[in-house]
Amino acid sequence: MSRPGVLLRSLAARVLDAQTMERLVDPAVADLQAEYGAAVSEGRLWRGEVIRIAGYVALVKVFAVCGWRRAIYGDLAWTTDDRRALVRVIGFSVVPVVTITTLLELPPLLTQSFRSDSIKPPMLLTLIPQALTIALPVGVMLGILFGLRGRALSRRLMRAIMAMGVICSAASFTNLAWTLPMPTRRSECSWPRETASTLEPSNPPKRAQRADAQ
Amino acid sequence: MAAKRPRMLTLSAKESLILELLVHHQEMYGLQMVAASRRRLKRGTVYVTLGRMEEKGYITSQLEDAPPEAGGLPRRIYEPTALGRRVLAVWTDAGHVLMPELA
Repeated sequence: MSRPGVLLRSLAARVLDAQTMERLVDPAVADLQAEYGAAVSEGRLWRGEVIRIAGYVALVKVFAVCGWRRAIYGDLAWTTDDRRALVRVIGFSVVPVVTITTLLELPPLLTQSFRSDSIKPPMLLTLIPQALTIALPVGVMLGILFGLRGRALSRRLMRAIMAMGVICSAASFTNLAWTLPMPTRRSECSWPRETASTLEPSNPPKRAQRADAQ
Repeated sequence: MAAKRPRMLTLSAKESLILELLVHHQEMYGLQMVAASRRRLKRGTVYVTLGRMEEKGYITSQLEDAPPEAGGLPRRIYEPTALGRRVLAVWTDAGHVLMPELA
């Protein structure tokens, strides 16, 4: 006879700490096995299966609560070195992201600010998503490289860095796929026509065309 | 250094129910409490509540001496502590003072 909860317990033991296993998971599994064993020994097989399913649902609930508590209070167990390393990585990522974004915004600003007075600060915001497409992946890569240089990586820190990388990749993809087209369209409408036309060498300004015609 | 503030003793509705059951029956398994609570306690949350109450010092637990069947995990049996009994008594009295119509 296979005992219910053995597989779930072994899976939980890989993730949860010994105290959580002892206090929360083991009592739930032990009660499930005892109740299931009693039902089967009395010949009530269907009742046993119902108990097995109800026990599995209860175990999943216990895992969910443990996971939630870990997510909320897990940072309390971080060592000072791990926390410092994570802060360094975040800091070393933010600096290049801001720098690269600013550098990528400079050329159109420097080129156009002297020619047109109609460039307003909100229009400059429309350039940020385009710059972030490059700045975010490059900045995070530099942040991880320099923030973790010469440091021993604990498993917890490695998981946090990997999660950070995944979140940044998702943010970059979202920016590229959905956010970027919208400001690009808006900037095409809102930037001064002369400004837009001078940026494209294939479309000479209308004034110049009129002068050529005359 | 400032003195550490004493911990506030709190008792939720589920904790109160568990303490009542344990004071009445002296010692119980988790599933026995679920069965005795008439669906007010759930299988999935009773162990989390019991773990929290143990951390607060309201109840204590021990593993059963021998598993009922070979190969099974030993069951954990719970009983109230003196602190748990006092907290339940004070909580019940406070409830009666604040809401005498429910007494």
